[in-house]
Amino acid sequence: MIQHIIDIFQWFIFSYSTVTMAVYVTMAVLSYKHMRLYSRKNIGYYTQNVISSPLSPGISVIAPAYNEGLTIIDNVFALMHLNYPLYEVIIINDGSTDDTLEKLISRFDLREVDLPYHERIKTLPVKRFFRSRDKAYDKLLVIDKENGKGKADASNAGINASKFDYFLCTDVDCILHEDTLSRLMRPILDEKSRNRLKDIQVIPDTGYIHVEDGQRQVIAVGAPLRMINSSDVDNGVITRFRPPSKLLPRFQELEYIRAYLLSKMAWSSVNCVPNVSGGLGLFDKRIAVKVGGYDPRSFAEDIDIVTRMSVYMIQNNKRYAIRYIPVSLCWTEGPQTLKVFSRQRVRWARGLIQIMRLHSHVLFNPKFKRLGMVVFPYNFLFEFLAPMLETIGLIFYIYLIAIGAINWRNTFILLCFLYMFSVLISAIAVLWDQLTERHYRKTTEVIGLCLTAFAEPFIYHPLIVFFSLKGYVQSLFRKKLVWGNMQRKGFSSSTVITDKA
Amino acid sequence: MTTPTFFITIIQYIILSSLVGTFVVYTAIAVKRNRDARNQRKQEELNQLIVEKILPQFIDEHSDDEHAALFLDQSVLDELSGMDKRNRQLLIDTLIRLRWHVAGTNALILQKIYVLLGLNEDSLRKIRSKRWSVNVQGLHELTLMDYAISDIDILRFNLSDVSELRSAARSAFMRFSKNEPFRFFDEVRDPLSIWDLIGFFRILDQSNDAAKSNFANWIRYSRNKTVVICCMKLAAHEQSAEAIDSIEGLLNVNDHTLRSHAINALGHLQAVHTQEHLIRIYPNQPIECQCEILFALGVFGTPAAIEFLKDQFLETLDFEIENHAAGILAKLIRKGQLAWQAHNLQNRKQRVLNYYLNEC
Repeated sequence: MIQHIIDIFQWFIFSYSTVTMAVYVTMAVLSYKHMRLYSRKNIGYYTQNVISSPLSPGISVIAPAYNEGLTIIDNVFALMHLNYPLYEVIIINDGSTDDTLEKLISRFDLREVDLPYHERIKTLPVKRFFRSRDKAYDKLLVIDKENGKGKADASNAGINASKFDYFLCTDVDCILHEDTLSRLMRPILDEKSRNRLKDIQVIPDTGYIHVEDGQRQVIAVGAPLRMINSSDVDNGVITRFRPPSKLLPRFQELEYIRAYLLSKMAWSSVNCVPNVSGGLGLFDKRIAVKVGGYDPRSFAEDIDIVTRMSVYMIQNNKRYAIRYIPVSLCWTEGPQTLKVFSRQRVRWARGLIQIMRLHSHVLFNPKFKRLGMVVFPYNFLFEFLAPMLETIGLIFYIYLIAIGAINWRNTFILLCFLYMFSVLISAIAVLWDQLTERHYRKTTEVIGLCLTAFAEPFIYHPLIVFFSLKGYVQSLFRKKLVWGNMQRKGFSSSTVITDKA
Repeated sequence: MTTPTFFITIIQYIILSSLVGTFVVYTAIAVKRNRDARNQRKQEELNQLIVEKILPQFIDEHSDDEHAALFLDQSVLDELSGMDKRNRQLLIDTLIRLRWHVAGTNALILQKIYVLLGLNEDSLRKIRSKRWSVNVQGLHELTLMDYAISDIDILRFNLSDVSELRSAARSAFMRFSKNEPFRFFDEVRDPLSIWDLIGFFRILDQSNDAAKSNFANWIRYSRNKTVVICCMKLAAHEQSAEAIDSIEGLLNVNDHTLRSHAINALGHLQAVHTQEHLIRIYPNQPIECQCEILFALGVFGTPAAIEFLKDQFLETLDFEIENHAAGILAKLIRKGQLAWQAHNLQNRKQRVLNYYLNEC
């Protein structure tokens, strides 16, 4: 009987691993096709079209700031030098206890204004609005509000105060590429139905005949985020890219390359993007407001808002798309200590479990089309269940060793199989990154990143599994999530900024 | 062979494939970086050559192009023409980037270099390729370098199944067709995107010699809604007053989007005679159309239009309408078209108007 259970379990684990790998291979192929199509359509000088066109829609750049006093000035300057014809920068001082607001007021010569404010999305009280006396900073709007214990509430206040139809949500400590807005706007402007027009609709009151175009509305666009640790930054501009020298951010760099360039690109090619990162996402404001903006109670507000926007579109029978472009446009500082990293991953794990619970009606529900039959099942099977299954597998092997029932040769071959495959997938991700853009100047830096993949399954992956399980357990026992302040290094060695990740 | 042994054998093959695959991927990374480094070196050399030899030959905008041709240094052309195929593509891309930033005679100098080096032949070869992406590249190069090709060469791409190719062909046709640059609208059976429209605007702005089009017929008769919207935007951009009657006809359609675009175009075209009609339909419109009506009335700037704007600002309870009207009124006050004392208004209205007067 026990042998029978062992056999079934072994087959299950083997099948699960094989399916996971098949999914990765499929993703690699899809992401490659998507990237090639993107590069064919986006020769460098085409972005000039958007930059110089009076038709380019306005964008509100929303960046909440909490205790960012040390770097806020550089970061705001960086946001005000983006290449785009029509945009505003909204900084939300989310009840900082340091001198963030004072520095902004002094450096940008801010004065209080009586902005007409409509609370379309409910937030904690907004105290004051500021604009600069200096016309050179007329793009800047600063909002001072009560601390909302997270990014969501501050972002919602920014959405309420924004004047354009699209908003870009980012973190004030992120460094954006100067062409971020034009590149992210392109998929919105260029989305078109692949089908030729067929259905003809006669408009009775005029006699005009118009064809229904069946175009999709792009409701959100994202782009890869990368680690800024070890890169050189001057006045909010990255002057030299380097892979992080410390091990933890370096693992994260590799993980981000894999997640964005393999996974997100593949999902984008089949219009099944599960989320747009909180660090960089361009959203259709009308739809975001309709679904109530970001949920301040959510631990994963970025997945949550994208899911709610998708549900809204499906329930209203509207064709929609969420797109990812393969060009890295945003650089952020990754946690450098285990404590900070642990807090981030525990929060992500709790966010995932929360999303699964909140939107359980979507899972395997054909009414929600791809969202219900592809996106959610994938998240459930390969993101949510994976840490648990890996742990059960490990315990199972320990049990086999304990009862002396293990076949060491086969076990070794199976482990080699998983290990070599993970190294291959990471290598492919690095290749895709190199095909997209050449950020790292030296080949040794790329080799270093490739070699990181050999250590990842032994050091980084067990950590991720452990912190995910910790998050699940905390969620199960409804332990209160502490956002807390997490110290991490700024862009220069002398700078220390406060992290609310 | 037993089943477990069979699977273990398969797994061993997968391990071997992964090992080989990893090695191949690393080789590909090395080759790619090597090629990129070489291209970067060539690009730097090319940039230096351009800065040292070509930019000094750029002349004053008022000089004629014949004069410009005389001073093209043959040694520079010889140096450039010696480039291999890969570098020639770099050169085309560089010329296009430069072309983007100059106009008039200097643009002609760049075009001459493009032709004298036979780069136009490279682009023409591209449009004869069987790969659509190469066709698109060729069409874009020819369009951006302003090297005219026959309508027939372009029109065959208008029926392509690839939307990117159709789009590139339309841009090329628009650039090179002297008589009717927008004739392709007759045949458009796919939706046009805002991106296409942005491209059309760009080409229109670069083509001073293009014949003025009459968009009225497409607005009235096209069965493709995106073509109608596109033509209204183009008519407004080109200030094509002949299109006003056709646009006016769209004020009664059921489609809110189409109607709001029509109202916006009428505003841009300063169709003051539609003022009464717009004021009459205003109460029954959705907010997006109401905002466009307020915009159009602000452009008209007649006493009746201003009075209507004032009334709407004072009476509305809707945040969007209130702000939209305040923004337009503030502009009129700044231009001196309206003398209005904000302190006579009720407190809230006064604050809103003051904000737009002082901040926007």
